[in-house]
Amino acid sequence: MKNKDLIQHIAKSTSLSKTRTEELLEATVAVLQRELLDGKTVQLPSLGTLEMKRRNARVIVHPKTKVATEVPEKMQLNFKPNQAAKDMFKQINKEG
Amino acid sequence: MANEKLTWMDLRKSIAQMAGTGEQVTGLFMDALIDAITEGLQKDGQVKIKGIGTFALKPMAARKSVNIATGEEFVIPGYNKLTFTPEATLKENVEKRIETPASSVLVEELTKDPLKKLGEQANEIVDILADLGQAPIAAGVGAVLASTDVAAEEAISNVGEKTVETMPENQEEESTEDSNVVETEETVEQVTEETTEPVSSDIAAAEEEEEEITDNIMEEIEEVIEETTPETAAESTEAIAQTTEEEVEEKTKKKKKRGIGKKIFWWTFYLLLLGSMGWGYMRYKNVILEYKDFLFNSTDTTTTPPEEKPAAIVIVEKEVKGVYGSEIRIDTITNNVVDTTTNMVNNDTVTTTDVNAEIPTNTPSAQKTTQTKVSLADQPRTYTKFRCTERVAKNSRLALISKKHYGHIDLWVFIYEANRDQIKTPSSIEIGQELRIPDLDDKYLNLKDPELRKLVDKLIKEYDK
Repeated sequence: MKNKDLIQHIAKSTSLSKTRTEELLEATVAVLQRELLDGKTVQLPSLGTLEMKRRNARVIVHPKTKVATEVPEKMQLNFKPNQAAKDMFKQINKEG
Repeated sequence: MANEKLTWMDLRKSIAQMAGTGEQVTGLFMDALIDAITEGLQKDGQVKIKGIGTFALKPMAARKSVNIATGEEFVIPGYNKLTFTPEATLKENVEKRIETPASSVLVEELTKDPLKKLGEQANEIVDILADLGQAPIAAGVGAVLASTDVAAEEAISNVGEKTVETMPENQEEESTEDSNVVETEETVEQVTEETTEPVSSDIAAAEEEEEEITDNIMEEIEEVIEETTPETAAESTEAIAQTTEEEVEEKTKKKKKRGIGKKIFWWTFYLLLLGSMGWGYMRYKNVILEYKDFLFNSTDTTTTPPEEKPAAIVIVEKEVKGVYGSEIRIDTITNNVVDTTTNMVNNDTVTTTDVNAEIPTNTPSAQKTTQTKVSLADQPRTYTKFRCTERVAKNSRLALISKKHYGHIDLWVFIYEANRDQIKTPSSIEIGQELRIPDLDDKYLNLKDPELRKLVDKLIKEYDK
C-alpha cells in the first residue's frame, strides 16, 4: 500500500476530502518526525513504538581486503512491535 | 534530549494545530490512519508512509529449536514479523543527531515552541505593573509595547530591572506582606526598619514621599519607552519592507504556477479534441467516403464493403437469417472460445450447453468437429449456478474460501472468475464483500486430471501477478 492508497483509504473511511486527508497526513508526519528527532518515544496503538536509539561505534573488517574501518557511533530509528501487532499479523499466510 | 514517552493521542493537539483542523476531526483521522495501516498490512503486507518509512511484514520460516530444560527438540512455527524501515532522509537526519547534539537541540527547541504573540507579551508586562499598583501606567505601557515584537522583549528586561528597584519602595505601605522575591526581602526589611519611625510620626510626609516616588517611576518608564521606540520603529519598517518583497515574490510564483496550469489544461484540451476528431474519422470513415463518392459521382452508387464490420456481428446476423450453413457455425463457436480465452467471462456469454443445443438443429458434422476440437482449457467457463454466497471475513483470502468449499486452495481461480465484476485483482478482496461461490462441474473439481491441473496452473499464473 503506497501513500496514495493510504490517503484514499482514510478519506473513504472517515468521509473527509482527499486534500484534507493529505494535509492531515502531512501534519502527522511532520509532528512525528519532530517528536522522534527530539528523542521522544512515540507509541503507535496496535502497532508498536518508534524510538531513536544510540548505536555505539564499532570496528568492521572488510572480508576480502582485511581492512579494518571504524563505524562511528550514531543514532538509529528503532521500531518495536507490541504484542497485539505480533498476534494480529502472525496468522496471515502469504500464500493464501 | 528527554526520553519522554508519548502516546498516539498526545500528538493530537500539535497535529490539529499544524493542519488547522479541530481536535475531534484529527482524532478521527488518527484512528483511521492506524486502521488503514493495519488493514494495508493485512492486504498487501506492506504500507509506505511518505516522510516516515515503510511498515512491512516479513515472513519468518519455521525453524528447529531445543528446549534447554528437557533437551527436547521442537519446531518454532513460521510467522510474520512486523518490520519498519525508515525513509532515507529521515534516517540521515536521525544519524546526524549525534554529531551536533547541543546546537541542533537548541534550534529545535526554539522552533518547536512558537514565540508568544504580541498581545500575550504585552499582557505579561501589564500584569507585572499591575502587581506594583500602577494600573494606569501599565495600561499605557501595554498599549505602546504591543506595537512591536522586539520592543516587547527589550521592555520586559528593562521593566523587570525597574520592578526590582521599585519593589521595596512600594512595599513600605504594605509592610512586607508580599515577600515572594527572596533577593528583595532583605532590602525591604532594611527599608522598613529605616522608615517605620518617620511614618508613625509624620504620615503626611510619607505620603508626599510616595507621590515623589511614583513620579520618578513614571519618568523612568517613559525614558525606557523613548529609548526603545525609535529603534523598534526602524526595525519594524525594515521588516515590513522584507515582508512586502516576499509577498511580491510569492505572488509572482503563484501567477507562474497558474500560467503553467492553464497551459497544461489547454494542451490537454487540444489533444483530446484532435484525438476525438481522429476517432470520429476512423469510426465514420465509410460514411464519409460514401458521401464523398455520392457528391462527386452521384450516378455510381458504391456500397460499403461488409468486411469493415466486426466479423462476429456479421455472422450472428447471418445465423439468425439461416442463410449460411454449418461452416460458419463452427466459426461462431470458435469465436466464443476466443472470447473466453481472452478472459471476457461474463454471465451473459453463450454457454457450452447453449451451443450444443443449437448445433443439433443443423448438420451433425459441425457438432462432431466442435466436440473433438474443444479441450477443457478452451471450453468457455460460465457461472450461472451458485451454491451460496460467502461474506469475506477478516484475514480471509480467495484461496482459503476455495479450500473451504472445494477442498483445494488452487481452485480459487474459478471463484475469482465468477466474481470478476466485484474483484479487480485476486489480492484485493475487501472485508464484508459478498462473493458468489459457483457450483462447479465435477470435471473442474478433479485436480488429479492433468488437463485441469494444466489449466488451473495457467490461470493462476495469469491472474496472480
